[in-house]
Amino acid sequence: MFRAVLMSFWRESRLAVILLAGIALAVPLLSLRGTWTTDPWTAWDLLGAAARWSPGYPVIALAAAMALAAGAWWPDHRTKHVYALTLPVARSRYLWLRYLAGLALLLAIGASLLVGSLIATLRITLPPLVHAYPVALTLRFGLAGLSAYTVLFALSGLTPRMARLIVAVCCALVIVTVAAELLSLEWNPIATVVEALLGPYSPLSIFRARWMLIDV
Amino acid sequence: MSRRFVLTIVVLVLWAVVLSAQDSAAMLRGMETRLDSLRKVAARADSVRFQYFATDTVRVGGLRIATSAALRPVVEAAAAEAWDSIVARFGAAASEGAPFPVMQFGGPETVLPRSLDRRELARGLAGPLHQAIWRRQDSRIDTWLRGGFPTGLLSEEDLVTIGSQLVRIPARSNRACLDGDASACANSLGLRLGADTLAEWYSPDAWPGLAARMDWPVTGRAAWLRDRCADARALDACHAVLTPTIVLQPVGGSGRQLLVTLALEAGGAGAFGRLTADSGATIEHRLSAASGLPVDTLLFRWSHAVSAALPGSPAPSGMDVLLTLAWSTAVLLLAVRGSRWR
Repeated sequence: MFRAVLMSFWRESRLAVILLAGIALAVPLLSLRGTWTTDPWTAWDLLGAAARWSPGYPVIALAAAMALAAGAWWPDHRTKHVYALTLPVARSRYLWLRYLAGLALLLAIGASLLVGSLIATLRITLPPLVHAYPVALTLRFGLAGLSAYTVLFALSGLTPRMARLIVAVCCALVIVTVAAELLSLEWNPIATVVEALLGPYSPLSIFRARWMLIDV
Repeated sequence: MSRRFVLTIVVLVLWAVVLSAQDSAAMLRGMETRLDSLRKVAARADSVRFQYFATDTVRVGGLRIATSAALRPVVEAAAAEAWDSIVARFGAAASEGAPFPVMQFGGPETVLPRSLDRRELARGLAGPLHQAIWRRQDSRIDTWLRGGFPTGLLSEEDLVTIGSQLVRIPARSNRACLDGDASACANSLGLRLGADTLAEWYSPDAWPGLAARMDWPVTGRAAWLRDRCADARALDACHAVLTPTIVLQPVGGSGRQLLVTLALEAGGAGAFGRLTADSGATIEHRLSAASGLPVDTLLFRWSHAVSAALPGSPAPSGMDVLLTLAWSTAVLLLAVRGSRWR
């Protein structure tokens, strides 16, 4: 059953998955492209290159999560869940299978990041005190992707009523923020919500880190 | 005849060029004058507006803060905290010398945010006083600190920056310094330098790269020397252009500020007075006097603080894994437990 769900997921999302896997493979290679000699300034250049490209990794993780979460629900939303309702499985089991299929594809994107990072770092002789972290970076990428994918999967599967409720809450937040600004209340509910979403114990806290393929 | 004609034309052209340059200079001067007068008007407007608003002055120690009666309680509490921290750091030096300028806090529309942290406000009020007291000191320490003064504890991010500089910048002593060699740290921090700063900091093979990465704007001969150094690897050109003033320091100003902060903290009461007492002594001796420690011990502490803050691997911690799995499980259970499809 899982195989069938995975294949159906793959058919619907293969373009996005291949594209994201290609980007995940290319970014580490691009970040460390060129020839690295034993020049005294190699550490300077390597760390500079790693820092310039570091915001790319969380962005790819987020993009992968968005594409897969949309891919998990979009075909069912489009066909009004007819395919899912014809299957002899309970809704919860079907959703678990869909979720796991998306996770498998996320793993594939993570694996291509690992391959790209390993190739990129293995061809360089690192200067003293500088270290390459291909596996550690991939682990962080995997966890960040998992976290974002889960949240977005849950949001994509909301019933229209719940979705309307969330949109209404968002609109209310904007209105309250504007009103607070006009009344000089020095209170920003949107900033509070964003802080809560990205705070140290929030679901997306894993994104808060130095995403450096090469670091000291 | 024709020669005289050509000469006349050349003189006329030169005169026109000089005249047009004078015109541009005069226009620039005119614009500067207008800008200055606009600034004066704006400052006067601000002053009148503030005089109308500022109805109260908070005085705590040497701190004088013009504010409104409504803001007085908060400002007074924060000023007391700020003054205590100033006295604890600078001792008698806080009350010596000319009075500090009156600070302004708030404006006619100022409403203090609910989340206002009094400590934050106290730090904000103490900051300008820190700067003012440091500026009163002798030029030797000012020169060594390169105009940036320590205003309190450095953040974790600053320590990471200092550590990264020790690894990134290929100065002779940086690696040994990170390994805890106090003498190497003294060299990196510019404490024990001889006449040839460039050669003591960097080996000649690093000089062309140093010139290529120079962010100091140079023109004319200096630019030519820089290009000769960076492109043709001419070491004499490198030596001529990479003067102590413009050469990249092995550790930036924040590293030096950290060392002073550590010395003042180790020295406790009276540390600042001991640091500034003998303006003729070397920075090394003054730091030792301030901290009450041999300077090598201080440098070892500096090296330890920096190396402990090195960022290391981006691998998620156990807490990260636990949080991610817990949140994901909770969100997923909420998502799949419903029975409605749409």
